[in-house]
Amino acid sequence: MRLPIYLFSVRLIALVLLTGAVNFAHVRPIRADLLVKPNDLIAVCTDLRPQQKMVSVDIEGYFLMCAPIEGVRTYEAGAHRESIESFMKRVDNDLKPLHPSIVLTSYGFDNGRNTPDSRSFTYYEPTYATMAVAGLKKLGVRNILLGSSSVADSKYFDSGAEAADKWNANLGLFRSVYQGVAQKENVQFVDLYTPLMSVMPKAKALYGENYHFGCNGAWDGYPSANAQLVMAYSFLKSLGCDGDIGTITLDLPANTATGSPGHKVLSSASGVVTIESTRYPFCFSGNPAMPESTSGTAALFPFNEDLNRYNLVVKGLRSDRAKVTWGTETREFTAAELATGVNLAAAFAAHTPFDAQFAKIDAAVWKRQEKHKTFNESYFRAVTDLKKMAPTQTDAIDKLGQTILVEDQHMYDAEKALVIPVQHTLKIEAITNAAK
Amino acid sequence: MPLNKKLIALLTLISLVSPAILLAEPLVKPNDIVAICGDSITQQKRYSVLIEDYLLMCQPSSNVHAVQFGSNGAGAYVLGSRINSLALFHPTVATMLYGMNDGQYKPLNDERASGFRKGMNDSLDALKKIGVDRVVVASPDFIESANNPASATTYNVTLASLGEISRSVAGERGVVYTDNHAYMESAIRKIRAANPDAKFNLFDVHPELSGHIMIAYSFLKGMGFDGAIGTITADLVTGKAIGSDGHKVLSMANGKIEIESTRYPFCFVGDPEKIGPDTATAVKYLPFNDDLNRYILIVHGIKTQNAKVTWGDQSKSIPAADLEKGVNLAALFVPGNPFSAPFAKVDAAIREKQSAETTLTWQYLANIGRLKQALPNQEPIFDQIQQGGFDEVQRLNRACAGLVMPVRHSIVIEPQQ
Repeated sequence: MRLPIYLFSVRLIALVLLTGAVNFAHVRPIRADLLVKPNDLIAVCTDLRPQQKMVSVDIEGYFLMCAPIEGVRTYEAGAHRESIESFMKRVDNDLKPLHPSIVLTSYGFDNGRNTPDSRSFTYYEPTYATMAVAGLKKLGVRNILLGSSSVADSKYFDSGAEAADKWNANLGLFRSVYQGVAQKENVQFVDLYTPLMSVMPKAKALYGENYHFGCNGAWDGYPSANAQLVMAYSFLKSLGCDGDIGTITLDLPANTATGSPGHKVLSSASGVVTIESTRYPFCFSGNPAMPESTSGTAALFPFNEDLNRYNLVVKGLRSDRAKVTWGTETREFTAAELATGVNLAAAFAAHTPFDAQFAKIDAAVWKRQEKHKTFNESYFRAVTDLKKMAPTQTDAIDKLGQTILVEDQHMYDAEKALVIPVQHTLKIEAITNAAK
Repeated sequence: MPLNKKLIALLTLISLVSPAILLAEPLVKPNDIVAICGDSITQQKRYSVLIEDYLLMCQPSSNVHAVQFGSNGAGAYVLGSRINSLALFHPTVATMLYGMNDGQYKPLNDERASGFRKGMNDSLDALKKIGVDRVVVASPDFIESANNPASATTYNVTLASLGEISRSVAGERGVVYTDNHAYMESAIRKIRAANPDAKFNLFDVHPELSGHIMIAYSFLKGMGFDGAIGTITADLVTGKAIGSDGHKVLSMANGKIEIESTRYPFCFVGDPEKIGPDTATAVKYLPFNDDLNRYILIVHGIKTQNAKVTWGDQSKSIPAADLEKGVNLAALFVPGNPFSAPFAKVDAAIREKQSAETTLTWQYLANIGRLKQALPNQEPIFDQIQQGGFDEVQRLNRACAGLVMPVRHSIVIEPQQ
């Protein structure tokens, strides 16, 4: 097989990098149609620590709770510090039994050591990425989303900011390698680099330079939930998620309320609406100042605007302002804001009535995906050797593979059973002049 | 020097380089299963294959085979933690080569020294628990690094000290100690002295075959084998020849002896005159052939000063006086003797068998606990696969043994002036 050789103009790359880096919106969805279909298995393959599995847990949580599609689950199929070359070599072995219909990838962090004049840039990375895509196509993967790499932390990477800057500059250039391969192979490119590089300085400005965001030199546990939410966002956008969780519309003069599909109004009287929702807003967790939390970065990029719009529209308010109480929390809004709609998921991000059930389901997804590392290492990556080891037992070995898939399905079913309707109440109280 | 001082010096020498000669009889008995335990140096499957080559083809005891039980990255304590996997092979003898990782590539301190001692003791306890009390403990390798010679020199101090701990533990526990570190140091220093300017990197942490033959030598010495492969005695006057056990003389006529051998001499690969990653070079600097590989030809009745001895397709001119006393064919005909080709075939089969053992022990048994936990109530499938793995190892063991076919070869002795 003759391998393609890619030669990129440094000027062109610089231009792409410049336009991409300055405008976050540049990486917003490039396709509007939803790529995910019922019963899809989405394999998430990255070079991050698979034990962390946050990208795949966030994505599965989203399709279970926020934009439910029957039977859609993710499978954590990454390997720590893996190169695209290594991934390419195991595609046929590891991923084949899973029959993924969608594969999301993020590789190349270690390429930060390489400059644009290296063979890695001009030959190896594009060649192996192309071969990986070819392998995935051969498996019958319907949608391949080829992501760029994660980024280096500006404080914790190796010797610090200078080393991180150089590394990230190279990674920015490698992003264009993946973009080029995606275009050539007619698969979707996902720019993870630009949003990560955009959020990192904002997060450090807010929480201090010691707030860990990107990979450190040792890759020991980072990026954490904070940055992986950004990556999950980019993938979800690229999968075509429209971000509509639901809308509750309250007409105060008429004393009526309606909910969009997935949100059934049980009662409405005197500004108090009780709703039963089968679709959840995405809920953030943890202490915002901690990198292991999703709550710290959610507001620093348009997650809620683009993926998590749970709107409350209030018509006929006879005061300039109103208090809205949702669950145990209360916020104030202007009448104009309420008339056009406020995003409850963003305004009440710290505490929502969905938090407890969301956390329970998130934990179940986590527990199931915890097993994926074991399945991958002890079975899928070893299956060829196992068959060589016990050639008279290939049927039993195949049966074990089937058992793994059945167990995974059982655990997924258990997750799904936890997605129960959540009853919650909205109370709208006009703020009169006297009350001010 | 007074006699008692001479005696002490002799005993010191014996204990330093060849403690196993104190064994009254070989440690390894017929039908034994020898577990070759260690770290990634063991898992390289080089010295372990050389040992099993020796056990299977040179046949110091009958029907003995080995089990490869190397664990990448392991310290001495790891054997104890994996003992249940080893027990499934029902070993009766074990060899232990640890220390490289226990020293953590740093100067030795009390904590690491006591950790190593405890690991060795714990592993010996574990072996005893599964019924293995015949053990050969080796001191860790001597290393030489072309890339970082200073660091190798420093680390050898640590390795030698760990060797002393191994010696002390072995003494306390009544198991055999073999000073692999000293054997390797002696051979490597001789190689370096003979080739002071040669550039090679054969004896780093993971040595080439040239280092592994030294480790194999250390263990085989430790097992107490006498090294006799066989003797062919010919009398040119009577025209008769006899072979020792395992070497049947089929005929003798005009100085040509036809033999069928079921025991092979150990065969080396590579060019003995060139330093390389093979066994032939290193064996020149090791007493391997003298101690473990004596395939002796004795010829009586030569009436000339020399005789041309042709074995297979190679000939050597040998003084008659030497032939009268006996010459070691295995040492003289390196490389390439009539056994070399079948030896290589069995060696390759043993390598394949040990690879299967690594997959079974390292990839399957060491990891399968987590998979069993993740898939409850699936014991029958796991048992079936495990049994399949052991069946395959048994099949490969039989295949290896089946390849050790009698070799027919001829020795031609022609008087020379």
